Amino acid sequence: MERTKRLMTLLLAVLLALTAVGGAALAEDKPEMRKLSVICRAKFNSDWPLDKRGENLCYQAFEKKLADMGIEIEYELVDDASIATAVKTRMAAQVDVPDIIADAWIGITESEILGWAENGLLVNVKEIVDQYDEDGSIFKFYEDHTPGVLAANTAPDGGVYWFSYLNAATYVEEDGSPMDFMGNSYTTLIRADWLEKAGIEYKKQMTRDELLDALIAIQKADANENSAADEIAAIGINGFANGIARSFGLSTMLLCDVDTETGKVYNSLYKPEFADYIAYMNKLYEAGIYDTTALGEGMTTQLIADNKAALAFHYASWAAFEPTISADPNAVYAPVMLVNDDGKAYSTVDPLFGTYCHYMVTSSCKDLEAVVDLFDYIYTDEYALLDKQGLEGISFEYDENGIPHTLYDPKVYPVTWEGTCLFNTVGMIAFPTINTGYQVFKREIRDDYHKLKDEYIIWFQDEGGANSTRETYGDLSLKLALPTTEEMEKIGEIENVLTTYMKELLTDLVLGNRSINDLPAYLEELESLGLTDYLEIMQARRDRYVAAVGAN
Amino acid sequence: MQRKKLKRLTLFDVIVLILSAGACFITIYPMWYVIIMSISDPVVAAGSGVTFWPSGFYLGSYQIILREMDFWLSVRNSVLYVIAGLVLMLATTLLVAYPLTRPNLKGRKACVIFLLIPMYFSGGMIPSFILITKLGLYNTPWATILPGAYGIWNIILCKTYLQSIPHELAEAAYIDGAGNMQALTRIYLPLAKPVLAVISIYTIVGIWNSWFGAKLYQPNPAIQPVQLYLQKVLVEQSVDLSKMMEQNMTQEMMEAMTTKAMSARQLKYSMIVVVTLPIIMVYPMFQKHFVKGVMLGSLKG
Repeated sequence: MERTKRLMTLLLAVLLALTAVGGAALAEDKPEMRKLSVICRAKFNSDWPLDKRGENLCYQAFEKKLADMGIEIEYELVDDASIATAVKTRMAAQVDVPDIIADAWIGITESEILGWAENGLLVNVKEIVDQYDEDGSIFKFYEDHTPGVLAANTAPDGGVYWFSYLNAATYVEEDGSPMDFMGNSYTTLIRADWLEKAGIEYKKQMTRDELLDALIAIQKADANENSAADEIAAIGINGFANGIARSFGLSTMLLCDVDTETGKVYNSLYKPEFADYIAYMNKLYEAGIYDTTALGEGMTTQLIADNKAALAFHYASWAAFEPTISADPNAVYAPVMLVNDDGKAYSTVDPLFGTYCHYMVTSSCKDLEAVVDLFDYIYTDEYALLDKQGLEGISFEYDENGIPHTLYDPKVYPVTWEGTCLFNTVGMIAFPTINTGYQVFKREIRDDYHKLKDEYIIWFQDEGGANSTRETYGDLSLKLALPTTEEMEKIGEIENVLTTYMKELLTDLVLGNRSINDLPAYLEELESLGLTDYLEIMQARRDRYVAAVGAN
Repeated sequence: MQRKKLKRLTLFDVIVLILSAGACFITIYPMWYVIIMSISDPVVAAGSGVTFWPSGFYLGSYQIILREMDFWLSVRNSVLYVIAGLVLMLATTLLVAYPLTRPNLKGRKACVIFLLIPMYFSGGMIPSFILITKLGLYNTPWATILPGAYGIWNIILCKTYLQSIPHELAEAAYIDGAGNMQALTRIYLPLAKPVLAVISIYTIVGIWNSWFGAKLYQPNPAIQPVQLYLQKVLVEQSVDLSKMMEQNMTQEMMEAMTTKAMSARQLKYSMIVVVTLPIIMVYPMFQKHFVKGVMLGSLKG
């Protein structure tokens, strides 16, 4: 009996051993994951926090792809209000520095980034790409889709210190036919419902005098029904980004812009139309259409929410104002293009081509090859599709021409829907957006407060845009070569002073505190503050950019 | 005779009264305005129709705040920081100040000098940041609690006050067999209520109102105090769109940043009232001791 028990025990032990060995043999050899830490904003928008990215199907696909490459990302998600402080203090103190810093409009300037690079805190991505990207596909992708921008993003020492969001989409009609996209228009927005109360018909184009008369009529009609003549223009007067300056042919940029016809950098104060612009703004102010309550920080948005803004300035398609006006659920802002008396019109549109954001690799990163492998995947058509379109069969489907069309209706499926593209999760605020595919121009006219906006957008595409002199907003600031060290120092010395002087001058001129007749004296003052040097620097940077990229 | 003197107001008295009333009005009116705006009819409030008295009665903004869980989370954080900070501050203050009052403490002068130096010299923000991070406190509640756990000024204040308490009381206790801790807790502590009240109220107000340290060391919103939450609400909710455009954002970017509806002015005022209420409620508790203690250190004898 005892012997039987011993034999049984021995047999069980042997079986157990064999099982363990067999199990180990069957177990897959998992590759050791290469970890990269990324610091980025915690949310893309208030509805889609990044800590819920695991619910997104496109993110799951992205994560799987990275896992197959043996890469694991550790995200440090930081609140929008805190991220700039967190990044700057940690870079200054050089403690707790992540491998990758995703500067997707977190509030870090290129001067700061170049300063970090100069101090050896950032990796020259050109060097690591040359070292590890054997087929050269990353920079080839740059050149194929956004030719020349790599040269424009090269620092004076020859290094490239960040990867970029690439914006160079191909716009097509809904049937897939190619189109000459006019761009997303920025323009004046007028309360169309208040026009109706004032007995004025809304038009897509108005002369400036018609606009002034309409605004006066709105005030007289007490459109917001609070027994006060407080329906005013909620626009900025200490700058040119208000829709009205542009109608005079002036740029929307404060200090300088480039004349795309001549290639010359200029300041709007030198233009003869500037005096006419000030005269018109004086009329607005004297008529009570502009009020100094709009001058305060953040007051533009406050006035809109308080149901007092008869006029605003934003994208023609901007639909975020109306939901904030709790006092009037019928509020409608409609786009208006201002035309001169001779019928000439000027417009401002979003850039159709360029690079944004900075995805930097810090010198604390130990696995540079993993970084290159990561970005090697990002700069591919496969990632571009996942980023901007999503997953085929879930987020989009191809038509017979190979053009992707969104499958879901944004009115039915919120942006937080699990099938939404990667752009709405990590594909911008953590990693570069690659907007190099197709963008379909929709001709849908929606109901409610979108209606007039949709009609304007279609009209602008078909007629208004081509019949106006278009300026690309931020043209100069986006399309400049990086400054040299000397240029950066000079800009640092004079830019703030010039900006402050210009803002104060414009405010005083509009409010009548200073006279436009003394413009030569003001220009002399600006030149003594360094305006001429500033324009020369911007011209030099612009010329270097054009030499590298071309005048686009 | 004295009654007659009190009744007869001179021109000087009248002028002083008028100026004082004006100063009171200037001081009190902003807070009063915040309160009446927070409870007035929202349409009237949005139209700036409220001046000296509330117009209508509406508590909807407070209802919104009550439902805002992020806000209450930050209030909870502030309460925790205040309680922890207050306990640590009082403990460290007493335990450092009391030994410094003992004449037989060796190296007492050196200790005092050692304490005084950091009062005048500081490493600055970056060394503080490095210290907090290297100690592993970054992005933890301790980054707010520990740096605020002691105050050299409070220690000196407390030491000065304890020195004014007759030493004979402690000697009598020593004779009866009491040790230093017993003398501290049974003799000095009950007599030190005024100074502890002053230190407490300053500490509570200081911690409750602080936000800059949290901004530097606590990027995680789950542990941020209420003042930082308030700062984000008041700043983020009033972002000027023209400023956003200057940052060369795309339309998608801007839409993403403004999907949250821009807050009505009334909601901001309601939030200010809610955040200020705890401090207003705490002050009366310390009032009895505060009046006596506030002049400590200013007069000798």
